[in-house]
Amino acid sequence: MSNHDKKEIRVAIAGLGNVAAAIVMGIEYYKNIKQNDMYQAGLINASIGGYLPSNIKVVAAFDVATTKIGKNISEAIYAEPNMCHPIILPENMPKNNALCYPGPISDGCYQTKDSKGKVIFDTFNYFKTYNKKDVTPCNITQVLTETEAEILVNLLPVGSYNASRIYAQAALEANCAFINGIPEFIVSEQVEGDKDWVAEFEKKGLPCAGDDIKSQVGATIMHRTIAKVFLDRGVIINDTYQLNIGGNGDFYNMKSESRLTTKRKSKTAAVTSVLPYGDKVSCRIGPSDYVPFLEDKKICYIRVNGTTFGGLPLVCDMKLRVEDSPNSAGLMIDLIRQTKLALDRGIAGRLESISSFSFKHPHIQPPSDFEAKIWVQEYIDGKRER
Amino acid sequence: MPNKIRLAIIGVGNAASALIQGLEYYRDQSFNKGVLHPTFAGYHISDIEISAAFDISADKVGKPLSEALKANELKIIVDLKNQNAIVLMGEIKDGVINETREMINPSDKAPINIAEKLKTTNTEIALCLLPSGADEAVEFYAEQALVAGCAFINATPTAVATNDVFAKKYQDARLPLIGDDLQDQFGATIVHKLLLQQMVDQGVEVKESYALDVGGGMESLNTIYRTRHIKREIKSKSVAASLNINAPIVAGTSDYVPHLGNGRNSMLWLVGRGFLGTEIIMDVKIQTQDGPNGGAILVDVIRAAKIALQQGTSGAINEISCYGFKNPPKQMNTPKEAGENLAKFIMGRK
Repeated sequence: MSNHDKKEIRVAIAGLGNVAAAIVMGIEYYKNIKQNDMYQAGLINASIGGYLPSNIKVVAAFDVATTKIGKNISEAIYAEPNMCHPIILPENMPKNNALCYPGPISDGCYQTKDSKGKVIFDTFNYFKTYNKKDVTPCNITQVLTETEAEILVNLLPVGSYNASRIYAQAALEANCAFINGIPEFIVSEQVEGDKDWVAEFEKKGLPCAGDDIKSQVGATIMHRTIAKVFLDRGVIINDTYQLNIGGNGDFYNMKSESRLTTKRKSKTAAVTSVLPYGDKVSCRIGPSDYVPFLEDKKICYIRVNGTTFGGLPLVCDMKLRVEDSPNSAGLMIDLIRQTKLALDRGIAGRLESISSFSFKHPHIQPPSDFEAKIWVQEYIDGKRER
Repeated sequence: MPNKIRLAIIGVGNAASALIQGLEYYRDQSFNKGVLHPTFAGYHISDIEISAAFDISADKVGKPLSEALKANELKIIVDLKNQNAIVLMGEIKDGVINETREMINPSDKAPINIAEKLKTTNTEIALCLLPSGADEAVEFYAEQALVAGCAFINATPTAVATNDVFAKKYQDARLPLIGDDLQDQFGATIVHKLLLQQMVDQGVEVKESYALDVGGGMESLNTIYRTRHIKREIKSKSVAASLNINAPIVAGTSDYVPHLGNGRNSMLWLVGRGFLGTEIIMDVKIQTQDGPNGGAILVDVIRAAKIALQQGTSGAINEISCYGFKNPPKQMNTPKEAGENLAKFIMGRK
C-alpha cells in the first residue's frame, strides 16, 4: 500500500446500488471540504481524525446487473435499476479506473410465486441479473487483493444471508476491514449455526462494524427520539407503529414478507430498546409498501399512542419525506473514515462506538443517540479504544 | 314469512358482528344516524333476520350469535339477546393459512351440510364474509347457495359475480348474484376517488397519488400474506376506472399493525398541477373501524337483493354490485351514478 497517498482510504463495495451511488457521488460533491469546515449541509463530520471525504477512493465494486458489470464505477452508478438522485450529473462525474466486477449470484435475488405457480415478484429481472451461462463471476478475494482494498462495505439487497457471508469471508481472506450495511446479523451477534465472524476478524487483526445502517435523519432515529422524549417526560407508550413506503430497489426487494424477518427485528429492536418496558409495547415497524412512482424517495409515517398525566391519552403523528439512499450514504461516508482510523491504530474486532451510533442492530444498543454520539467522538479522539 | 328477510351469514367475524349489532342498534325506527337508508324499498333494517350462521372457529361454533360475536375484535355495544341463531360448523377449505391459524383457532368438529341447512332455515340470501383469498371456500359456498336456491352476496375479493361461470349458473337457476369485494361506507377508496374527481373537475392535472392503509384485524393479516397483489389490482383499477386519469395511482393495504385491532388508518397523498403548472398537494389521513364500515352498505345491499328475488331478476346484478362493491361485473363512472341506477332498479325500471 506504500504506493498510495498515505491519506487515501481504499474501499470496495459489494452491491453497487443506490446507496453506493450516493457514496460515490457524495465523495465528488464534498471534494472541496477542508479540515476546519463546520456545518456543511449534509455532513455529520467534515474531518474525521484528519480524513476528509475526498480521501475516500472506491477502488472496486461487485454487482450482478448486466447494466453495471465491466463498466467503470463512475459510469455504472447511473445504470438501471439505480435511481439515486443525481447529486452529481453523469456528465460532471470524473471518470475513474475502478471497475464494477461480476459478483457471484447467490441469494441476493429471488422469485416469489403465487399459489398457482405464477411469478409475482422477480428480482432477478428487476436487478437485471446476468445469465450464469454468459458470465463467470470474479474471484472476490483476488479482486480485493489486486485493487489493494482496505475496507469492504456490504450493501447487498436485504435478505442476502449467504451472499453477505461470501463477501465477509472474502474480506477476511483479503485482509479487508468489513462494514455491514444490511440487516444480516454478522457483526452484532452470532446467528445460530453460523461462524463467529467477529472472532475471525479479530484474529486477523481486522476491524468490523454493523449491522444494518441507519439514516442520517431517518425513520429509526426519529422514532427513537420520540420514544426517548416520551420516556424522559413520563409519558407511557402503549403502542406505536412506523410505516415506510418507497419506490426503489430496496422496497421492491422487500415486497416478499418472508425476506423481512431480520429487517423487522432489527428495526423494531432499534426503537423498543429505548424503553425499559419495551417488550410490553405493541410495536409494528416495517418496510410497508412499494410505490413505484416514489422512486428513491422514502415516506415514513410514525404514530405513537401514549398515556400521560391523569391517565389521559397523548398521540404523536409524524410524517417524514426524504431521499432514501443519500440518507444512508451520509453515515457511510463517516463510517469508512472511522474504520480507517481503527486500521491505522491497529484495532481489531467489533468497533462498538460507531456500530452503536450508525447501525440499527448493533451489538450494544446505546441508551440514547446523544450518548452514542459522545462515544463516537471519544473514539475519534482516541479516548475510547473501539 | 312476509316482510322479513331471511339471511344466512358465512363467516362470523368483525363484519358480521357489525351487521348483526346494526340490526339491534337500528331496531328503534326513530333512530337513523350513521346509515344511508333506514328504510329501503319498503324494508326497514330490522326486517333482516339471521336464519343461519356458519364459522370454523372453535371459539364460535356451537354458541349462539350473542356469545360467538364476543370472540371478535369489534366491541359489542348493543344487547344481543334476540340474536340466538347457533353458529354452525362450516367447511374450512382454504379459509385458514399458517399465519392466521392461531388467531382463528379452527374447530375440529365435523362440518354440517350447508345447502340442506340453508333450505331448512328458509334462507333467502346467503352473505359471504369469509377472509380475503379463501377462493376455494368462497366458491364452495357459492355452489351451496345455488343448490339451496338462495341469492348470494359475495363481500370478498374472490371472483364470483365477476366470474362468468357463476353468473351463468345463477342466471340459469333464476337467482340473484351480487359482488365482488364490498366497498366501505366511508373509507379510503371512496374518499380517494372523490378527491381525485374534484381535481379533475377543477381542471387540475393529477400527477401522482396513493391511498395506502394499514389495519390490525384478521383481514389485514390475510391480505398481507396472500391477496395483497389481487386486492391492489382491484383497488387501483377501481380508482383509475372511475376517472380518466393517466397518472401513477397506487391503492391498497400496505401493512399489518396488530394493535390497531379492528381499526384502519389510511394515508392519502395526491399531487396535482394547476394553473401555470403550480403544484397542489393533498395529504390526508383517515381513521376508521373496519367492521362497522361495511355495515351501512351491507344492510342496503341485502334489502336490494330481496327486491331482486321478488322481481325475479337473476344472474350477476350490476346495479346492486356497482352500488356496494369495489369490483362489480361492470364499473360505473361515479358513485352518484351507481346510486341512481340502483334506485331505478329498485323501482323496477331497468
